[in-house]
Amino acid sequence: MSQGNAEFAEFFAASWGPCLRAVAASTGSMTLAEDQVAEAFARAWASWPKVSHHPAPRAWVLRTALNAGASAWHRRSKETALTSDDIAAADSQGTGLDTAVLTALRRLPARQREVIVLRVFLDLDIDTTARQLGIAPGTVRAHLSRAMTALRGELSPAMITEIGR
Amino acid sequence: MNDDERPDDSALTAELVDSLADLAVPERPPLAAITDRGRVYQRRRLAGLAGLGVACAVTGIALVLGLTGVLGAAPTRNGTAQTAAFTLTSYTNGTVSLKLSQVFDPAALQRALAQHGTRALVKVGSYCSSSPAAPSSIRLGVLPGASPGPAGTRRRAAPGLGNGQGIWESVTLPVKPSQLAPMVDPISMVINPAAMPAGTELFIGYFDLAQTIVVNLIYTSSHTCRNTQQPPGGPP
Repeated sequence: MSQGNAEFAEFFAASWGPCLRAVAASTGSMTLAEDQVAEAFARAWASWPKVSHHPAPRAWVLRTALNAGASAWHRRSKETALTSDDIAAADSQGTGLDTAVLTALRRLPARQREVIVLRVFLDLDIDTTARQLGIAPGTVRAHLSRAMTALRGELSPAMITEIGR
Repeated sequence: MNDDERPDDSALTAELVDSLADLAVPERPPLAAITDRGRVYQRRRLAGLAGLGVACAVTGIALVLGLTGVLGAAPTRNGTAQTAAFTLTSYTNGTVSLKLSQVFDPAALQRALAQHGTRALVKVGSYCSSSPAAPSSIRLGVLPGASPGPAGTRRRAAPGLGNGQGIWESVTLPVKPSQLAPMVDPISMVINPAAMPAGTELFIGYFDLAQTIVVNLIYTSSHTCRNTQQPPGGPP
């Protein structure tokens, strides 16, 4: 195995779980997320000389997966009209992800959800998140603040305590 | 996460993170399944770019003409600067060839260009322009081998784009996403610094989200830059 392939194998092993969890939380569908993340890792492998030097390779995978998902969602939405709640309820069963969290995330505007995924789930700093999304750091802060406010409103204190147990 | 959150956000953040950590995920697929899929993606991309082959061949010829016919005798190497990210070669006819292999350190590339006689402002994630705009680098022959497109259009400016990567000059025609591909293969361009008017410099910008390189002339003393991951009018 070449050094590049070995590096990719290590990255893939370490990043598959975190990326899949983040995309599943963002999209609300584990089934779709699994396919999107696999596609994103395949593209990362094909572009490894570039991705390996990216400042945040996991974020690259995440963005690629979410972009692939956006196209898939657009195609799917023409076929069947499902609400976010429908998807959350159907796909969160048996995944371990609390439906309330999933639903709350899905109700966020797409940009706020992306900020939550990059900033909270991938733990990127504000500047890196801003670069990933092509927006100003101040805009990231604004989206983050609004998202947290909305999530706080959606998830009651009692529910927040229950989440994650 | 602690530099911008409200005090009572920390519990919510922790709960969100914990909730995600508890999420059961399907077993990781075998690495071979991913690499096989990657090869399929590469083949798809190559097939999609097959149509560009002719154009690349034409621009390749134009590149040779630019180096030999238009600019005089066949060039010989005069000096080379090489890093993991780029190779910069200056020729005795005054031209400089730049080959980008991966995302580059803008400061290092800018220094290397200056050492090879090319005034340049190199940025990653920042777009710089002058108002009024500086003259077209293509029309002036700063990028020999490329010819100007119809007035009011944006066109592929630099030769040697073997992977469909966008190197663009001027800023008017929207680019379809399908025209772009991830930066995988090296990107090459030839610069003729002698054709740059006094008071101008070459802006070279890399935009991560769009995975695009933009090359423009700007006025050294009057230009503005703004942070963005997508050049104006570029692909979504």
